[in-house]
Amino acid sequence: MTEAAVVSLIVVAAAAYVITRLVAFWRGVRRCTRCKGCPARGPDGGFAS
Amino acid sequence: MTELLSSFDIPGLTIALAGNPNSGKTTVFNELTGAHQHVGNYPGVTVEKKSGFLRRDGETFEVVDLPGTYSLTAYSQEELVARSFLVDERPDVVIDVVDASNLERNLNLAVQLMEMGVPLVIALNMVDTARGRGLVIDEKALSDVLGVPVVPTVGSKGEGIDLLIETAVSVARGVGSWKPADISYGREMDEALVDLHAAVVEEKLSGDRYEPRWLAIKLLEQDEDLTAMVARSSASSRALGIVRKVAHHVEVTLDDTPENLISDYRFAFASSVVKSCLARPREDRRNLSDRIDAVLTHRLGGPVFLFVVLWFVYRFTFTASEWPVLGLDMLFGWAHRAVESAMPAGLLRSLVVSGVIDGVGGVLSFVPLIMFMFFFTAILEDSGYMARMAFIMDRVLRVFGMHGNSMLALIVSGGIAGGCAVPGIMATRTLRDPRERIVTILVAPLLNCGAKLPIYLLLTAAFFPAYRGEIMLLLTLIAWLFVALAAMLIRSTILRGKPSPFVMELPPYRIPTVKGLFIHMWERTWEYVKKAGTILLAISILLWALMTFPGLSREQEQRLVDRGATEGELAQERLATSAAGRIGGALEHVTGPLMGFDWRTDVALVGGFAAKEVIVTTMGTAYSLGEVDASGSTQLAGRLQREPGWSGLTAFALMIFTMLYAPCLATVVVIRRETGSVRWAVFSVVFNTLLATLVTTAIVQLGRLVGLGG
Repeated sequence: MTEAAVVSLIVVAAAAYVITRLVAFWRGVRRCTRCKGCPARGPDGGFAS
Repeated sequence: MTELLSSFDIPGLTIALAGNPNSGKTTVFNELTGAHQHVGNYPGVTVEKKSGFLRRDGETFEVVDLPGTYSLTAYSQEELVARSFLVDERPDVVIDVVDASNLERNLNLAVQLMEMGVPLVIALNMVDTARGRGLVIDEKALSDVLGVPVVPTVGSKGEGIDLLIETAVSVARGVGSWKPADISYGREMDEALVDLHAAVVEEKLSGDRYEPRWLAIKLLEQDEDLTAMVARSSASSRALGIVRKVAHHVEVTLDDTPENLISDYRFAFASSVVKSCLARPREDRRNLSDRIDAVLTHRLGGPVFLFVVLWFVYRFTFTASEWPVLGLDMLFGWAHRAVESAMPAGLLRSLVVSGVIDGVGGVLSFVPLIMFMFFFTAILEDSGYMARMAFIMDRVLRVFGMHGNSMLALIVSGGIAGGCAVPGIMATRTLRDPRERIVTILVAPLLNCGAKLPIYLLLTAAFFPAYRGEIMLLLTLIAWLFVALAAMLIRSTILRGKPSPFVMELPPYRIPTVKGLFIHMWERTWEYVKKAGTILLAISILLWALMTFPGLSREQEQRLVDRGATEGELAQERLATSAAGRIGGALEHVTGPLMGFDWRTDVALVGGFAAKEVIVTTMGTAYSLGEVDASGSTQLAGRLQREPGWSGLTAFALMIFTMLYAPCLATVVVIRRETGSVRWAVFSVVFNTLLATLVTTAIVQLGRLVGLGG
């Protein structure tokens, strides 16, 4: 494998890792908002009786 | 007042009467129901159940006298019965009969009823006895801070009973759903509650019977009855796993139980409520924590003491970590030289040396400093002084329109250097007024989070080595100043409104355990190291690629060599023609004249939007790639000192810009989520960047005018 190929592979892996982490963070954040009754719904998000 | 009822009347609303033993509850019950009472037992237990009827304006109400209890735990049969009645029968309104002469202890039950979310009215009973003891209670203030109606009564004389009935009926009719009060139990418990709450909802543990947050609190308190119920439904419950983990963590770090911590905060809340609405006679002295607070939170002495504490923390942190930081600097310098001599020149060597070692090494070399800083933060937090810091800051910031409950969120965000805006913004959930909440969310990123520390540490080490502690203290004060000014600006323009009432909880002081301090320090330091070794490393590699490609073509490079360009000049030219070099070059046309930033700083600041530590990693890579004089220090601070465009003024300007400009991506995502609007996330990015540009430009231009910075 040439040096350029190794470097390309490392850079692509780094990019993929950053994207994965961003997506995971965003999905983690979104998951909370799906929960009815979670305080993430904000101060006016009362609970159904 | 009340009319006698015949036994065949069908009641409309159910009113439950709760209260501590000896709070005068039975007297109030008798006043409400007259002679028409029914005495029996609660199903399956020997606890007496008293109920009766009252008629008013042609309507009939059932009044149930719950057993007298001090709390709603499952310790006694009485408590369990009272709790089960509230959960299963869901009365339309609960009247909590509170002994006005013993307000603090009685409010503990009121707080637990509020946590359950029951529609509540407080009967402030025996006000005559309280007055006789010289206690003056501001009922309006009490009602405002608790957010529930308060009716003063003297049960034995029938005083206030009419108003009590009227208020209870009006509350019962106006309530659509139960709204549990969000009370803070300290950072760790609050964070655990968010996870636990989500698990309770996900696993459908609460069903229709319990409010999820209340059940989460009870599980965290290790309530036997409810823990057994959850274990029966799912032995491998994620919720119970979280409870076990938190309990173990609290035991190891604080040598205590979650139940005690929650109870402490509950009493602290009640105590703070009492402080805000009760005037006592002078001789009625308080406990040890109160006596310490009389000194540490003194109106004048408190801020001075706080100032001294912060100065000591910063000063000691720098002094103690000087040698370890130097050692790590040398280690990365050695690694730089070792790899350079071991690997042949080329792309891979450049990536390892400039992208990895000089990039991530710049952040990692500050680990000892960060560790000391976190150690002191742990002392402040575990001892209970951090809550006092919030209390003192509140007095100052209230003038600027900030809400008292914002203070803890702001301190978590970086009120003392080293926090993080993400949990800080999440902590604003305890703020009920949406405008106050949004203001706090918007100003929290201006504070000095842990990610901004490496850039401060780097620049103070390079340009202000003799005043490192003082510069950190100055940066802390400047951050708070801008929080206050920005809050005032936003509160007086786009988010106007009166501040809502609040109380600040001051938990009792504790002596931190050594084990606890080390665990807290290690947890945060490990997070920092992990971040440097994963996401920061990946971003550093990407920015290296942006600073390397497309670079010079072979022909261009040959032409420069033919013209006699040195290796240093070639490196500079390669960097200038890279993608990042071109972006930075375009930005430099604006930032250079205004703020004195060169293109490398601009690229670093753009990269810093991903995570603020990236500013240091990018500068490490940029100055390593374009190095002209390879004979000097390989460390970034040394390189910056040698760089002609850099001065103390540039360094100070960059620190202020880093403090104020757009929040990092993670914070922006959380702002969008917590405000429920992209608009506020965009506003935060634009407002902060504009503020940073204006302030930094003013500093640099003024500095140049008076002859600073060359």
